[in-house]
Amino acid sequence: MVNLSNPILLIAIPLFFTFLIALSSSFLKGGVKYLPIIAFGLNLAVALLLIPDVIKNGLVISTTAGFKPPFAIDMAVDRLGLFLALIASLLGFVVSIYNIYYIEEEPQEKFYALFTLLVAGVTWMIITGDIFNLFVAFEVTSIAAFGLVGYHRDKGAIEAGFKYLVMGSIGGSFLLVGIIMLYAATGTLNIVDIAQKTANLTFHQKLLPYTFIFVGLGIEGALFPLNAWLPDAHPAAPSSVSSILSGIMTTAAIYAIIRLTNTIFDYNQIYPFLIAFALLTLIFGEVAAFFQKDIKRMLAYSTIGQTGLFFFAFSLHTTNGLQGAFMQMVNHSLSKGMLFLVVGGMILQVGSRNIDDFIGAGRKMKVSSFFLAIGAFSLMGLPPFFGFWSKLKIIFAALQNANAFMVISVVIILLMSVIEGAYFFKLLQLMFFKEPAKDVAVQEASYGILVPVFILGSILLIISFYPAPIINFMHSAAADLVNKNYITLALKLGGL
Amino acid sequence: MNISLELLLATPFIGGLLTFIGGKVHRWVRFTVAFVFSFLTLVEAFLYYNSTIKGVEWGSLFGSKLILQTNSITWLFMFIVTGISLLIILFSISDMEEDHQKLDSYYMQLLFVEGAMLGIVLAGDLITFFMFWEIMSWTSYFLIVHGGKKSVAAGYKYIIMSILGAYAMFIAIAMIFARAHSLVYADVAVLFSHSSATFVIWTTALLCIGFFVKAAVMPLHTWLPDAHSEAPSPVSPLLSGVLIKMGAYGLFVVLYGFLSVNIAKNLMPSVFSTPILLYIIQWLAALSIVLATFLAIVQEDAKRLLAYSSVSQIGYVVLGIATGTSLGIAGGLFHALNHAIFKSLLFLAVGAVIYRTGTRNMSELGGLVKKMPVTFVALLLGIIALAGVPPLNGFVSKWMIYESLLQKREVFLLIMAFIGSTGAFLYVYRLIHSLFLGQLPKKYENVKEVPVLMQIPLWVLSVLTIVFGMMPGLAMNVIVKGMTSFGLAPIKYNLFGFPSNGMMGSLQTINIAVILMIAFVAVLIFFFLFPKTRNVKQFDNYASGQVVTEDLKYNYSYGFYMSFSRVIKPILNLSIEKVYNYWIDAAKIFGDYYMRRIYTGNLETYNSYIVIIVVIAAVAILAGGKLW
Repeated sequence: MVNLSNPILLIAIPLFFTFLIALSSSFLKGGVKYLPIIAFGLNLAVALLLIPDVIKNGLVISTTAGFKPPFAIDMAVDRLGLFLALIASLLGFVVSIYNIYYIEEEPQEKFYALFTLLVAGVTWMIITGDIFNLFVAFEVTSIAAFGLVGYHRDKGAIEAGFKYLVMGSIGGSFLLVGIIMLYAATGTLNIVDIAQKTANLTFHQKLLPYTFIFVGLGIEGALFPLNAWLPDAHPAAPSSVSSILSGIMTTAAIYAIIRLTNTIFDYNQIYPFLIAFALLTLIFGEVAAFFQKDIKRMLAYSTIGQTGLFFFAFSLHTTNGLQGAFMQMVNHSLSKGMLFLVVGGMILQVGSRNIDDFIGAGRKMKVSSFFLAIGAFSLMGLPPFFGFWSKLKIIFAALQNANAFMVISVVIILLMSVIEGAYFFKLLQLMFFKEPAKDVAVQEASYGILVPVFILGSILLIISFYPAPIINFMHSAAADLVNKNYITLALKLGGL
Repeated sequence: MNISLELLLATPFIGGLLTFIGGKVHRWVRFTVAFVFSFLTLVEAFLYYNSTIKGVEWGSLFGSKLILQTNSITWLFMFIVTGISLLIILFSISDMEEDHQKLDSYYMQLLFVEGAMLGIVLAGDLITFFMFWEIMSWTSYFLIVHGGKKSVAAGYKYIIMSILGAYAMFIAIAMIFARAHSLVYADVAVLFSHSSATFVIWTTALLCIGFFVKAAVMPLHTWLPDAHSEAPSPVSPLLSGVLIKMGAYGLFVVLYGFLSVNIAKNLMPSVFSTPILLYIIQWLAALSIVLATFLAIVQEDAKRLLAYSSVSQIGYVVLGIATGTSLGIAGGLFHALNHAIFKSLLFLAVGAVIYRTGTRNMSELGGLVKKMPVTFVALLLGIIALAGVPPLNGFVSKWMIYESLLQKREVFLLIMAFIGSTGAFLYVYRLIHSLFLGQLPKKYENVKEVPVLMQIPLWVLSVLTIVFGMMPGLAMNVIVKGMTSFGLAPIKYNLFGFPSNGMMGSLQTINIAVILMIAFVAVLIFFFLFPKTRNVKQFDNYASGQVVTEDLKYNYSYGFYMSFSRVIKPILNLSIEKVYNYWIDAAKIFGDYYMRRIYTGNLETYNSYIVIIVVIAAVAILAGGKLW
């Protein structure tokens, strides 16, 4: 019997389906739209089957081609990788359902192939145990994303796609240069193997590649000031794609930064600089979001702000901080993924992305706006939603060793949260409570749009009211990272 | 038999959800469920009368226990919350007759706010407290914006200020957590007893900012006049009567649960034998009393007048709590109860007038006394209580606060408190005169008394103003017992007042009532002894040598206190809100300007950012990472 709880399947299945979609589109015609659902349904099942193994062993490794690492490509999933892979599969699955009713423009088979490739690439980035594979996954993700951003083929989409293409390629090149430098210095590409050998590296040998890798991943991961493509690309893309881009892709890039910073470049003095990056990202994201008139652009800037928040929590470099960061990642992925889906459905009805055209839409689209409110509340961190628990954790972690710098940081974070509240409440109030100038001919979104939203919304509500399992899981994940269990376990389990 | 605290807390939330579902069936199902569940909550709360429960653990988070607890002070606030909520739901049934879809969520939010406020007072640790505090903020936001067009802007201001205040509190809570690793009240108290003055002052001040935003203590009150006046009529009493008291409750818990006067005296310098922190709070409260009174006097809108009056009256509550003496604290807490009763009464009475006439502009109203006698009596009792005239309840609590200030010889504060009371006479007279006395506008000739369901809350609250005015000992039973559980010295009292005790003058409401009764009888005798007055019809009269006709308005009530408002104009022009708006606008312009320059939409600019970052990083590394 095939062992289904094998991380490699998480990549193999969607890659297989990508080619299947491309090849079978000529005779399956419209039927290809159901293939991604099968792919990510299987992926979700695999990820769920991985849970007991990962919890038992702490790390699950699978290798390819019969060689042993460091000579073979290997996939390594620890708790952190597992929950991100779970979210990626979940979002992939849910958004595939959404796509059936949402995507109407041709060429559909190309869209579905690229979409499947995008989620496959994101998952690949998350579970790879090999730094060159990280680059490959990064490029796969980027290429799929370039195409999807420009999918609508109007002026804005093509401009956004082109900007993203240029900046993403620069990012890829930086990443590659960094990896080459590392390879030159250590002679290996396996993450754990590199981590073993960086101990004898000089200061410059270590930090120069780090800078390049950081910049490369930072472009994808929406860190200020490298994130300028994002506010154009996320709104221009179809909403289902924005949901993946905002929900998991930027998070995956941040994951890669966290993984590499923690495992390979164990350099404590870097963290204050990371905090500075995080705070700048947070400030510019939230403040810019406040001024937006375009609803998707507002959400895109909000993604930047949220990224800043969990990157800040990571930069605290403590177990509590990491726990908060991971909780916020879950919260952001689910909430923002859901928000983009809801907003996509609403834009179809309203026919515009300008928030002034949404006046009164909330009263007509009760279910949609209900979920929009839940997502917004969770992002703002209002109780009893999950965002409250993660914000609580982050602030507690930040003030754990309260010094003046940390207090100022916390003040900044909370002020930005107020701004976040200001724009989300502005959106909610004009949707629900403002009198529309004329009667808006808006109906509730179709079931095909509501069902995926409902799935994500219910999961968000469930983890809001029973946060304990997630909180405990994230605590172990954070402890794993701080104790460098990734390396220890990989050495033990033969990931090297 | 006691039901568990969790069940008590869950009742309104379950009720809210059931109300929402019930509303989909039929409107009467919705009313019944809402009424039954708020009544159940009241009954359950009453079961805890006189009982103290220290800590029911209902969960744990990040290594801190989540605790529910109750004591007599809790019970006092529980009584306010559940009692007023029940009456408001009764009043809403007739008053809110709009789109039924919206009403489903209205009743749900009403019960949710009630539940959140119960959560605040039942909380035994700061996480629970903060969680319910935030839930209260956003649920009450949805209630405020039910009020129609203008209420949207008011609600927005309210929610933003609430979040701001809550986050000030959040920082303090996180700072406490970092040191104590637990947020249970008892552990916080232990931490405060051996912390440095800096830490205690910072955390207390930050917590107080959160409380003062909610309690609308100046200069953080700017949301209140808008929100309270624009909210639907039955919501205003909930906000003014109950919600702002949560700030007072929080202040009490922090000052006497965490800190205590003795610890505070050791940590910081004292003024008038009051720790400086408390002294500052006293002054803020006193300023609220005076300035809000002035502002209330010049209002043209009946609900706005009452809203400013709430700022002023909450000032008495905070002033009393911050005196630091047992008498003052008891007075402050008692005034919280009394204010909840008479301000709800006033808002509901004005709501009844609005229900029948559709306006709250005082200069358009008048002469309704014969049309709405029940409402008139209710409003009359309400304003007597508010002005602090015996024998109604406002008098006793104000007397206690004055007495405690006298004992501490804080003359300035005492004078300010007196000014607030005197000013209250002006605005409450204005209120009753403009609404009920004078000439009845022709268009209101067919106005009737409000329906019975709306009269019931008015009756109940009217009776309560008399009961607590005549028998303050009923409330003192609870307050004094609660204060002893917080380690404060008990004060002497009996059912009808306070016996003379050392410096303290005695107060016996029964004596006052007897004197008043004698005066009343004397006036009555006078009235009968002298020749009868002639009853004159409204238009059997003349003014300026002309016969009065129906279309002539001979009774103006616009600009009622014109001369007075001219005198205080310089004060009225000082608006903290203008300052806030100035800074907000400046920040907006600044933010917009720079955002456009950073996210230019130009690819070259964006790429240059990457270059800049790489160069800076490279320089930093080559410099040996010593850029720090």
